[in-house]
Amino acid sequence: MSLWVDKYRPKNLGSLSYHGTITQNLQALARSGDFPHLLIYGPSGAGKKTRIYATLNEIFGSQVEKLKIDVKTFVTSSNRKLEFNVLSSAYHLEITPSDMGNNDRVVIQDLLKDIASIEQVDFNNQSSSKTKHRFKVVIINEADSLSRDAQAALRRTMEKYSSNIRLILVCNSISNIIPPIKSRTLLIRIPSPSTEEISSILSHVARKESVKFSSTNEAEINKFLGTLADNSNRNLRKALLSFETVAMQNETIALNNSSLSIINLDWEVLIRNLSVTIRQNRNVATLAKVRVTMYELLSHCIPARTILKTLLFNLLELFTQQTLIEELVDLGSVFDERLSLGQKSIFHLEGFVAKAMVAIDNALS
Amino acid sequence: MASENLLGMELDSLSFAQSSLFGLSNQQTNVEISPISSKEMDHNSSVAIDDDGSTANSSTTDVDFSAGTTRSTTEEIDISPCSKRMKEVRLFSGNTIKLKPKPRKVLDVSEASLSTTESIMDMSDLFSRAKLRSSLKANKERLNEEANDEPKKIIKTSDVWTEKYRPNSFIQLCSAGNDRQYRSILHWLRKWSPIVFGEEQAQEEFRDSWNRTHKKILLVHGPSGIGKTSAIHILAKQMGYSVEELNAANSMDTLPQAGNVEFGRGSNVSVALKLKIMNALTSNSITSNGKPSCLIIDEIDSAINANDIIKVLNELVQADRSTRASKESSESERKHKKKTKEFILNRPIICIANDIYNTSTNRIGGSPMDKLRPLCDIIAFKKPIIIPANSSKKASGNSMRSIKDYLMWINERENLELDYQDIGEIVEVCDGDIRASLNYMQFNGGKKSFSRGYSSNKDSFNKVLIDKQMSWFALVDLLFKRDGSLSKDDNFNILFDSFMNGSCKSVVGSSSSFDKVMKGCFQKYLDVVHFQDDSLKKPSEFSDWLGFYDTFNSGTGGDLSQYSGLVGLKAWSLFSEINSTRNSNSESFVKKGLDYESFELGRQNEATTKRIIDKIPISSKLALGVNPDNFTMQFLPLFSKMLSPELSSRAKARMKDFEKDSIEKVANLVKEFGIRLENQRNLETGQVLLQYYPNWDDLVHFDDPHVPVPISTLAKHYQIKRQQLFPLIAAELERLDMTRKSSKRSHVTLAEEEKKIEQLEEKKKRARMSTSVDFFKDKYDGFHNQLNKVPKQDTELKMSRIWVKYHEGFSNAVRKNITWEDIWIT
Repeated sequence: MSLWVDKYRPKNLGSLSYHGTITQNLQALARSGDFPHLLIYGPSGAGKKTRIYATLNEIFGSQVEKLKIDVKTFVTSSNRKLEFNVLSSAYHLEITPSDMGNNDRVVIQDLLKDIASIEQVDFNNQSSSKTKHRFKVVIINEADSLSRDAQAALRRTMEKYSSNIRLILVCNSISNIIPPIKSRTLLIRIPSPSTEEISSILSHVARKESVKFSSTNEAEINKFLGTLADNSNRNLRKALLSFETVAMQNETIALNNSSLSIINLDWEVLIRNLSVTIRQNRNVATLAKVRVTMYELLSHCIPARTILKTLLFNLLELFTQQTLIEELVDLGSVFDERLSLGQKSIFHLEGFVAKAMVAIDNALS
Repeated sequence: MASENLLGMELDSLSFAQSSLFGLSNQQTNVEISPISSKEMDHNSSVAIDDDGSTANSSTTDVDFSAGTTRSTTEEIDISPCSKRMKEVRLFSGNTIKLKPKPRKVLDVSEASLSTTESIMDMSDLFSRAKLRSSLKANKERLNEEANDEPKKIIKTSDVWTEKYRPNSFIQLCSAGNDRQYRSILHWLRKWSPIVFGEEQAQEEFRDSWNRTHKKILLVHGPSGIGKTSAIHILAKQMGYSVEELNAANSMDTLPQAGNVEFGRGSNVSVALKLKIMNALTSNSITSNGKPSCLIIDEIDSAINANDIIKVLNELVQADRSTRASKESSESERKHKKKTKEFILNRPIICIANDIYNTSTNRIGGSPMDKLRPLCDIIAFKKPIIIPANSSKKASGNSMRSIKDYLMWINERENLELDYQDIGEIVEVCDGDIRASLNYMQFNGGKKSFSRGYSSNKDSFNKVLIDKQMSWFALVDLLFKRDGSLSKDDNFNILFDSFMNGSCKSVVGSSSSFDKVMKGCFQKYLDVVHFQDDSLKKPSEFSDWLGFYDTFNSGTGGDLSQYSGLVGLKAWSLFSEINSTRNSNSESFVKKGLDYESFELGRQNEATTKRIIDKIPISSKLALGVNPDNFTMQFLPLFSKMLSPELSSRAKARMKDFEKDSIEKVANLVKEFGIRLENQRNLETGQVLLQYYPNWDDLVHFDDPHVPVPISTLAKHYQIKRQQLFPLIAAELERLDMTRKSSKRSHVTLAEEEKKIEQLEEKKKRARMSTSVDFFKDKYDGFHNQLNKVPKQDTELKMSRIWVKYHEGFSNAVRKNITWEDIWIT
């Protein structure tokens, strides 16, 4: 028995439930048997990986899902040994550059060269397999966190070994990807599913798992699932996880009392409270309190940029003045830039709060 | 051994004799140092004593020194401690020595009471007694020294104070806020007593069959220079161990045996290392006086071959575990395991590290410390929290005071004439590092040469123009201070000069110390602003400058970092004020050391997340992704909720179906995700906590000021829940195991039968084969058949491919580049 996110993950293109046109394109791609390098991007929990594996499944058959973990070792230029894990099947392998740290360039070069020098030999029916995918697929997760060096190394490799390697780059946003790579790949954007799509998936799961609701009224159930989907920011993975958690905690899910049956994550609650505090008291003492909370969030590995973003959106909900909202968004983007350029997140988070307080003060007075 | 004993006795008698010389005893004795006899017994710096008035003794023992060897055995001079009579020893040279039994009884009592940490004792009383005793001893020693030409006990190794004042007994140890950690270490070592010393001890939980601690290795970590190594050495000695030390320097990487062929297979280095560690664990070296050894591996995180060391440690623990398992299991199984060398770990191992969450270093596939941590009980030493010297004294914690007291004591010994505040400053400069403080004190000399980084009087601004060493802390203070007698512009110019050429340059010039300055400013500015105008204008302006600072320093265009000093000047122009002392007495907004704490916790949580990600089953990896942020933000909080379902009763029979299902599901998840259920004893409070391992509690629970339930009660709530839940999960897991095993067994029997049939067929085949030609033909046919047969059996395998690995490049054979197309024409 596994988690629902795992259990109800579509295994092939036919069973994908939303984004019909993308699915059709992928089907066409899979039917041709060959495909160019792909760059698949979109928000997290939209189903990027699911679609990739479904496509690979269509091309290579179900063997793709038979995964194993290899440990590869590399020697860097300074003669140090690097070890990192590669998830692989007979047809593809999957790497995550954040495992490699600063040496991602070396790893990517070596790894791809290594794979490129393995050619497939097929003894039976030579003629038919001649055109049919004599390549291995390399999936690179979080491609946007690849360093510039690594991306530059990639661009030559993509052309040189194109006969027997296909790359699939996966990332959340393509703003960090250098243009030469964009031009060498087929860009596919997978948008988040809509609330309705998520709630229909959830109701499908609810039927299969025979989850009990306090009433059998379809409309009420749908409304509940809709709030659940909304609450998870249209992130399907999160929606499924939180639905499963709700279902495990309550025997029958109370539809009318959503405060009990909808799970708010602690860190989100913390940030929401923070925004309320900022609205109520704007002084140095509050700023000091905010600092303590910020430290708490950072020490729990919540990324600083996520904190900033969540805080900003929470603040925007609290105010109605158009000019103020514009100013806050402006501030948010400035500090987002500082966060991504710098290293001391706490400076910038506090700076944002201080500036936002001043802006609110000005707007209200 | 006998001669050693004898000499020890002699020294005691000597001290007695000398003390008696100074009138402590009314007996008339005449002490004389005879050069001949001392030459004879040159093993030690021992001295023979000629005693004239030796008629009062009833029993005498003769000790003959013939040709430098001792004939005497231990029994001959073994004197029961209670007998008050003197013994006389006649040396070969004709001299006689009086032997007096060592006054050991008093000592024994207090030591015993010291070592029983569990019983309730008045610690201060004990300490005062111990101090009294040591001072008596010291007095005696001094008397000895004065009486004697050559100093015996005090070995002058070096004049470096860090060595000179390295504490060598428990009461000399500077607590530095780590008392609790010391106690935990003692407690841990105490648990080894049953197996090492054969002591009787009440059976406690978390012991294995040999009454040892659950985890065999202790890992102590903390920042440098706060006395980890010293403390552990002392504590180990206190508990009666002799210390065997391995560290990054001593022969860890240049083992003489490393190149030896004898060690054969496997990596030579690790084999040699293992030998060394085993030697350290098992041997009782001559110097150790028959005490059991305790292995201390120092600086394990920075050792070059940390990987090897940890591998060896892991092997030891594994070997120990398997031996124990075989001992506990039935006889037949033991026979089976006889091949592997039996090994019982019966000496404590302590590892010391600075940084146990060391992920930034070279190894990507899990740093060695990741592998070590699960094997160990972990104790963290903490750095004392620095509090500015000019703030109220009472705010500074006990830890700080103990360090200062300790340095004060040395100060008095060395006549440095530093006052308490100077010492406080030194500690601040060195950031709580005791060793660094000592070095600083020694080499920056006494009061006359000791230059304060700043002084609190008015003319401080004139002083800062000289380019000299200055602490980052002093600079932070300077940035928040303004001289009332000067105009703001003049004041600024002075500060600017000092930044460019003056004393501040030493701080501003190095980016790491200036980083500390900026952190200090960041720490302080809110308090200052609160007392100035309490408006948010300045903080928001300062945030821009902090933004510049961060970009300058972390940007790729390295040259910009020279401008970062400007941010300090900006801080001064924003926040400096004339009477800066007024707000130092009030309570500060921001807890000190918050930055460091949150940083440490963050690293710990990162490591936990990584471990969890490594453990999740492969199939779930596809569904959950491998992005650690997703895990901390979405998966773990929800997963933790999933694993703690609400239960109505303790007994499974009385539960509702739904609850049974959920327990089953939880057990399945626990199994699938490779999570262990653990009983963890909190070393500090002694409470037993139920935890999942990897433990994500710290990661998931927030300390939220807005929530009415504080984090501690929340944790308690979880504990109560788990007490109910864990036995149920454990039972469920057992059941799952059983069902799996039984299904496996049926599987196995089937497979075995098939094997038998195959074997029979093979025998028949073999019988048929007569010539070698037939054999090959048969093989070939068989292979061919297989090739043809396989596709028919399984359609999936039809698609199977053959992958060929090749190297393209220049070939000397044909003197040209060979590519894949040349090898394989398609």
